[in-house]
Amino acid sequence: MLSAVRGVYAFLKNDKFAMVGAAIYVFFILLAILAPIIAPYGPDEMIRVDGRLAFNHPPSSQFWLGTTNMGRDVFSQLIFGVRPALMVGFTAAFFVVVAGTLVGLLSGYFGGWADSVLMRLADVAFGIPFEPFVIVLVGFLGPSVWNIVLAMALLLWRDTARVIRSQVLSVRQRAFVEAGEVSGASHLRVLFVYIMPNILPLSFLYGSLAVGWAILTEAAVSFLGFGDPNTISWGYMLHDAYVSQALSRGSFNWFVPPGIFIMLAVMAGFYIGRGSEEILHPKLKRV
Amino acid sequence: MAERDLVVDVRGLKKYFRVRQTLFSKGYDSPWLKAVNGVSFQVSPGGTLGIAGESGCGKTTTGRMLLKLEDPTEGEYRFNGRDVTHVKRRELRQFRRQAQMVFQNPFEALNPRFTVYRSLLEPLLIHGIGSRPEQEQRINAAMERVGLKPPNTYYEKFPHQLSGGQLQRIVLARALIVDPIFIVADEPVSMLDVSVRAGVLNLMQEITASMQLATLYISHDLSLIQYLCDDTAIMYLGQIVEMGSTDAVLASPEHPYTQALVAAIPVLDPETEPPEVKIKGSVLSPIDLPEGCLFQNRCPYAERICRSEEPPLESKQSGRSVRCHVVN
Amino acid sequence: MALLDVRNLKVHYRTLRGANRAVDGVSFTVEKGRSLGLVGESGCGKSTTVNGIVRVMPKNAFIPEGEVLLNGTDLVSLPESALRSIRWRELSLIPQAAMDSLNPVYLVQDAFLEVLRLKGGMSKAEALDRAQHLFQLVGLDIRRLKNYPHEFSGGMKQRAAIALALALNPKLVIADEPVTALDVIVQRQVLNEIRRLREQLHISLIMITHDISVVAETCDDIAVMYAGKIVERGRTAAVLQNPLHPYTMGLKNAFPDIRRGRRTLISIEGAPPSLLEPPAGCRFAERCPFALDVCSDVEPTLEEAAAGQVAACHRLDEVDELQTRAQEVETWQNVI
Repeated sequence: MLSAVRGVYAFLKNDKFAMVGAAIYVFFILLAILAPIIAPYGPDEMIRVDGRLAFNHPPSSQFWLGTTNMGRDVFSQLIFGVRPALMVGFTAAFFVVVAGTLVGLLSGYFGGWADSVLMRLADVAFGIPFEPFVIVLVGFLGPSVWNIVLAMALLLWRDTARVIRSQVLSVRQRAFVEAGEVSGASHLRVLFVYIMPNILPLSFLYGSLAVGWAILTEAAVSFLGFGDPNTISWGYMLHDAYVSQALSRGSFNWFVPPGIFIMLAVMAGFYIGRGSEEILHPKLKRV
Repeated sequence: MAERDLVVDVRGLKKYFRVRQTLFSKGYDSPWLKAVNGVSFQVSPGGTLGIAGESGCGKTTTGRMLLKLEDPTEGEYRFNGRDVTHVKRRELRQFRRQAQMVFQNPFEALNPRFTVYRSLLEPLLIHGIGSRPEQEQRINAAMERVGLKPPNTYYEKFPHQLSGGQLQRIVLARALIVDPIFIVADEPVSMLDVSVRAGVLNLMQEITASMQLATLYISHDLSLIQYLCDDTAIMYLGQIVEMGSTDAVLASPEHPYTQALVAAIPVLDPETEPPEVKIKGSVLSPIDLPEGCLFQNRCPYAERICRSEEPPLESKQSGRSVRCHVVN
Repeated sequence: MALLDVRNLKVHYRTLRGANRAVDGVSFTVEKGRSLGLVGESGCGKSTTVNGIVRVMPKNAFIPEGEVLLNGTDLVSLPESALRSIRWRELSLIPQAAMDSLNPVYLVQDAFLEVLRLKGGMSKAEALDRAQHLFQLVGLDIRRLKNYPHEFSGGMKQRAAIALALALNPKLVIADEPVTALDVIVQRQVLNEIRRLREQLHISLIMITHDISVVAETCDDIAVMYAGKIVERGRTAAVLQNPLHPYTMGLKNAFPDIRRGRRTLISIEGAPPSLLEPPAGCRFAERCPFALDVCSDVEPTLEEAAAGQVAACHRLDEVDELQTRAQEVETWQNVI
């Protein structure tokens, strides 16, 4: 486990893009923790100036990014929006990675009928269109952030499982795994002591991709109006801006910042993920 | 030697694989690939048997069956007096201590995420051998035995920090640490540079002799077999075609294939004309084997009987066995 | 004038930790119609040397110094376009596992047609004709031209690779480990083929191999490389019978020879030095049982010690005594 973390760190150190991606995540995590200190107002606080609702203010020293049509501070919403984004991103990624890695490991190592069953399940998951599925599930279970996470966990393990499985198939062939068998290691030991540490870096990378995906999905679902009405996320901000015709009024200060933050979050995931090629094929590594 | 003293005793061992030729062929009607087609031999304590042959002759599969990494399709395998032919994986605990392997590629045979110490500790953990200090003692002893001194300078090293020769010594130490009685070495030095090969070979020779291990060397390289093995079996298309004491087999090969193999070894002296290799053509496909001798298509001496009747591996008084109608 | 004259060739690799001096001043010549075996262990720079000669190198490799004169033309300073017209026509390279690097979805014949038409300017009919002729030349069935590369056995692949290298009648062929992956009987067949073709076509050959017995069977001359340098060079028979450099003596000791019967093999302890910071003196000094103080301080140069045979060693004048001592196991023990 520790060596896997070390592997990820070494990889980050060598890949400048991945470093940028990681830096963006660190920046977001700090924002999320410090949100109440940084944000001048509460995210759903209706601000009054001189007793009047401060709606549709342009950016100023008081409202850095202006206010919404309901008199809420856009900057504060943006900062507090990091929290649901990261929560959704990391929990979804966690479940996706754990489920995908386990399925990939079992399927790749044991082969036979276990492999057939699990991979046909993955085929089914691949067959279901992702965003419509999330919307339908949220429609059934009610609009909540956790239902969006659940929907993603139910579907997104498929990509990780496929990739992990093929990696397991190749690691399993390597002589040191056979050496473990000759030494008398049990199936579980071979699986978790020999094979898993060698595929964990890949799991982590797929996790980072999943973070970006999950944030994007939450934003999309919220934008379409199926999001959690009690949580102010970036997607909710976009939805809010859209239905109040901020676009036609040209209130760029309202809808551009959440767009940029969504883009940064997704980009960070992909920047980290793009290095996965090098971890899979170390020979491609630039010298 | 009485049979009960044998470490390895295999009779008529066969291994067939199903070949899936096309995408749509069903498992049960696809043809068999006869990787190993009935081999029998014995290895006694302290004995060294070499299996030689070209790629695809079944030597590696034979070695894998002897380590129970592969189950034989047919035949009988007695190990240290016990029939282990059909023993299940979890009933192999004792066997897994007694039979060990030295791998071909030392750069691959050690877990890249384990330190040297951890790699050597692993078999001890698996078999629950010793307390902590005893384990360290064992690891020290094994490393010293393979010439890695002082051992603690290697403890924290990872495989990629060591040379091929050092890695192969660690692989050997890992095999020895559980006190085995049988070792399979599949091409133990083919990945190493010539200048360090000799060191590993000498070490293996010394260790297997002093510990009275039964050893099976598998190699395409007859000079290596000559250097290490008392007895030699030459394999061709899954069968042993000639077997006997190494010196006799290599000095006066009788089977036409063995003759060709020996003649084809490059001559180190540029002034000497290399001997002629009389055989032609190439190896038959192990999927679709003909009647009669499997070497018939390449044999310069093939007669009519060779195409109709399979020659048996006939033992002679000299201790040599040859599978050939013409020679016998 | 020699066909190929390599003078003080250096090929270095840029790495994160500085330049790796993989080939560090190598000189040799190949006369017309002769063959040279370049031997050494993994990482000694033998493949890098020929990559430098034909200038087919990875991106991070560069040639800081040296000349490669082919018929008097320096290939090192030649622009890439001019070099392209020299490859295949004047010299061709058979890379390691050449046929395995062919595109698996094209027929073997397509590889031949591409070279013959693009580089040789032939029409399709002429090219097909030539390809068939080449296949016959190396003893392959011409129907096999219509196979895919993966349908060839190891020996057939090597024959096809040789035929391809001969496509435009080069004067010099460079073969990188041409028989390494082959079984011994096929290896013999391919080596015989190479010898026959050399006599028939009067081409020069450089063969890279780690196996001195392969050189003994096929090459007139031998150059032994160690850690980026040639340590000994001369007629193959002379070098193998009368090795001047301790490394060559050690190699011979370590090499099993089935025809001389069982004798104790002696290994050379240790490993070659790092070429990021090569030692100041002799690069073999650390593993050499005969090393003196001078060996780790002053780098020896190649000097002629027997007729046509050169070696880089400070103790060349004591070579008889060293040869005797080199045959004793004790000599090589506990050097490091």
